[in-house]
Amino acid sequence: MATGGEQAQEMEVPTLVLEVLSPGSIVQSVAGRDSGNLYLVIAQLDDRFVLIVDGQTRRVANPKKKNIKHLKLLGSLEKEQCSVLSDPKKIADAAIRQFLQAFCEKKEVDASACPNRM
Amino acid sequence: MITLKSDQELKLMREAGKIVMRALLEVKERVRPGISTVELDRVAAKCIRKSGGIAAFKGYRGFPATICASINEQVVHGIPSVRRLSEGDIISVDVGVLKGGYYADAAMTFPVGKVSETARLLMEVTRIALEKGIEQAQEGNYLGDISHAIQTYVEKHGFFVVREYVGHGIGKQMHEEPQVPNFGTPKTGPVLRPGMTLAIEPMVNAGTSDVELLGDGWTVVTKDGSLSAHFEHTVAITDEGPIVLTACSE
Repeated sequence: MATGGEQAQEMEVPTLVLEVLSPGSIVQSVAGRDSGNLYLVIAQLDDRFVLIVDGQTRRVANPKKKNIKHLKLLGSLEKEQCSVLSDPKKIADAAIRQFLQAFCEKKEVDASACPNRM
Repeated sequence: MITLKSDQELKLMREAGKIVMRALLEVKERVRPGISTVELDRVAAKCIRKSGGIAAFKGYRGFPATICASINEQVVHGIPSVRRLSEGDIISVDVGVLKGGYYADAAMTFPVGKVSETARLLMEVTRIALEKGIEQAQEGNYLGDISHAIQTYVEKHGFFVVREYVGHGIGKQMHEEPQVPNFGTPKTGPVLRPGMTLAIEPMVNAGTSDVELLGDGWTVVTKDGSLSAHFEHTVAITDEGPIVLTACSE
């Protein structure tokens, strides 16, 4: 990876308005070692944290707690898909992978954000 | 400060270098019309993980992927996407790996199917320019000798080196001192000493040397839309001459 040019400038981390992040939101991590990855929000813990899953490295049984400041909202699930979130414990990891994959294909999301990477 | 590496450290960098090249060769095998660059990214990620390395680019200043995949007019740092390769494209793939605390970094440009004569020549000139640079990576030479060798070979063939992005020292960090430009004057800059490790990486444009950065904050493209090629190796300077740490052979 070459160095120099404008790349040297620090990257700006976008922040979010709280109201828009709710279970069913599809988000991209913008900070941390998982930066760039795509997740589904399955629960809102308080005004700062949400639980996110990708059905693969972060499964429903072991969701990731993430500061909403470190997430970028990309979109949300369709209404009928949201209904499965009424009981987050019952939602299948496979379904989450499928949602995120479908979302990726529809929206030309960057790179490794897509699930099933690696 | 330029850090000199011990033989033991060079061995560790060679281990990282082998993984880099393994990943590049696996990607090369998959390059064909119709494949998306995200798929290529996954191939590299899987290969690096299986080999026990860590993808060095992912998360670096927020870069979201394992490889940089730069198509046609994209010079470097292209972000893999769902864009599919077409017959006649050229794609530059840059891979970095961290293993045992040390980094290695290499890049290659591949043709997709049958490419134009200009594209073929551009890739060939860039690859040989890198070899010319590596030949100058000898103890007692100057950094400017490497830069000058690359520049003269490229310009002799009517192409242009990118000036805004440069190669770099590499080791415990992905980017260390010194910077390694692809243009320069012989007998200038730091004297090369055994233990120095450099990522030498000519980025060569067909049209002009001017480049610009796209809105994604990463992808660098040629200003005139002309093709660009990129080859890179991590090279160690030793008293027995340059050693390519990212070479194919075991």
